[in-house]
Amino acid sequence: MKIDQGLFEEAYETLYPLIHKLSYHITGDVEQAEDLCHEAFIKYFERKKPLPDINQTKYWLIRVVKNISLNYEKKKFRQRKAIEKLKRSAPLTADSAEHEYIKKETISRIQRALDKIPYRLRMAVVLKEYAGLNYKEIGAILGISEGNVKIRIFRARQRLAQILKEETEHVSWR
Amino acid sequence: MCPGGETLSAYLDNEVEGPWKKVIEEHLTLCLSCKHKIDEMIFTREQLALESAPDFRASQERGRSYLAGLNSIEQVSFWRRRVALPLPAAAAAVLLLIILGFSTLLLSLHTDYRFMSIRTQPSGSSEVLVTAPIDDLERILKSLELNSSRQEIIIQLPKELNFFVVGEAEMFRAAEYKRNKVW
Amino acid sequence: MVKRISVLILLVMAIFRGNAQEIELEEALRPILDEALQLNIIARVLPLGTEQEWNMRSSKLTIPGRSIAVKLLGENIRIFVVLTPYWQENGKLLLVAQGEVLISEMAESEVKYLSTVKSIPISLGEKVLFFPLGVSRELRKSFNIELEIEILSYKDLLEKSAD
Ligand SMILES: [Zn+2]
Repeated sequence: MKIDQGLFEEAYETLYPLIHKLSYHITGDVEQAEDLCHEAFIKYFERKKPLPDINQTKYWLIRVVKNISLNYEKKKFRQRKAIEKLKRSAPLTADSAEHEYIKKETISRIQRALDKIPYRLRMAVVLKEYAGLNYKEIGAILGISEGNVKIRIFRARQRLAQILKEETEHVSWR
Repeated sequence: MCPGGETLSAYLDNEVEGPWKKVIEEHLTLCLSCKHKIDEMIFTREQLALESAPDFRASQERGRSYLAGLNSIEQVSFWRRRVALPLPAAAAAVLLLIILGFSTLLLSLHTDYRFMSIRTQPSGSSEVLVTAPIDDLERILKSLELNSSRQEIIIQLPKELNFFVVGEAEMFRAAEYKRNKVW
Repeated sequence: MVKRISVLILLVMAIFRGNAQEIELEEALRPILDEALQLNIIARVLPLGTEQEWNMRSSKLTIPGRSIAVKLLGENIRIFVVLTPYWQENGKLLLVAQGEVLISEMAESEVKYLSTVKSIPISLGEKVLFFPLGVSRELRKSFNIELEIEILSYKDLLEKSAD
């Protein structure tokens, strides 16, 4: 019944940085990233039996992050809708507007651009660029074909380039 | 014929097979338009690569202490599963209380467990005898509100109110929360 | 594992020492009473426009490691919070709150399920706020649910009331 503490510890030590990084780039929010990351490790912990191989563990955790991050994405979407609705009915006070502003400023422009592209494209490009997985591995995690991975990554790059370009132009005009 | 954007992007990721890779490589030396496209992709990729995630160490520490908490929950549920109690309810509750009462409590009880005896059944469950008048037990149990095996509070929220989720559940020390209050 | 074994040994020893059947019950239960904790819980709904906040108070006794469940039932929502206090080695309490929310939000017909686990180290008498639905930093007008939790030592309370 006792969980093998050693193997679990090792996985936690080795893989936390990667899982945290992926969670951050997927959610675009430090707090959410932490929650998502913790949730993934708790799920792993709850398995009771640690996987013997660190690589297997990595894929397992990434798959869990992928599965639960969808809930975060849905929630974020609902929250945005609710905020917009409220903004229309009640203008934000200076305080909360400032809070929003500060929050946005602390997020880098790259992360903001990632945030703007659709979830399924973001997921694919994050797994490519930040987990260094190949198309086959990404396909297996997302449950799509390699051809599909290829298309998603290309579209993600296209969109990102466009967003970053627009932003640069916008800045230089000011 | 120019390769499609997806193919160029896949080429960048080293996902294009041998002969095709050669063809693209050659094409890129000749076609300015494709060269420009792939340079743009490389530039985007570099920007993503330069992007650093926030420091994870504090978060990792928080996760650790939190998982340690879960680990102690594990221990509790272990005991809960192992004990079956063919006993008067009140006495059973005492035992449950003792056994669920976390090992620190048990250890702090020294060794004077004279009021009860334990028999392990062949099935693996344990039988516990408490030698105390049931009346007294019930009185004390009542004072401890241990009539049910799990303490439960049910609160009816005000009617005709719609709630909605505004974010992740959060927990703070009241003192700190009031100080940082935004509104 | 070591801890578990020592607990087992304790229990086994208890069997062999179990010859003397008589014992003062108060005495036997004293350690439990000494360990007992009282959880005071206030559920609040806020802010309710111009009206006063709505609240409901309740308290329960428990011991470290043992959970208290709080069910909040509303028109479009069911919240299930399990609170468990633990003593930590540094002499502080660790309060673990597991929250589950079933909600059907206004515009949507589907029911959503959310779950969370939070923990916080606290001292006796220190108040903690738990927001099962999150904290509205931007949404000034929404109704939100707040649980205020305070953990006190039952022994201290008894002594105080005896004074
Ligand atoms: Zn070309």
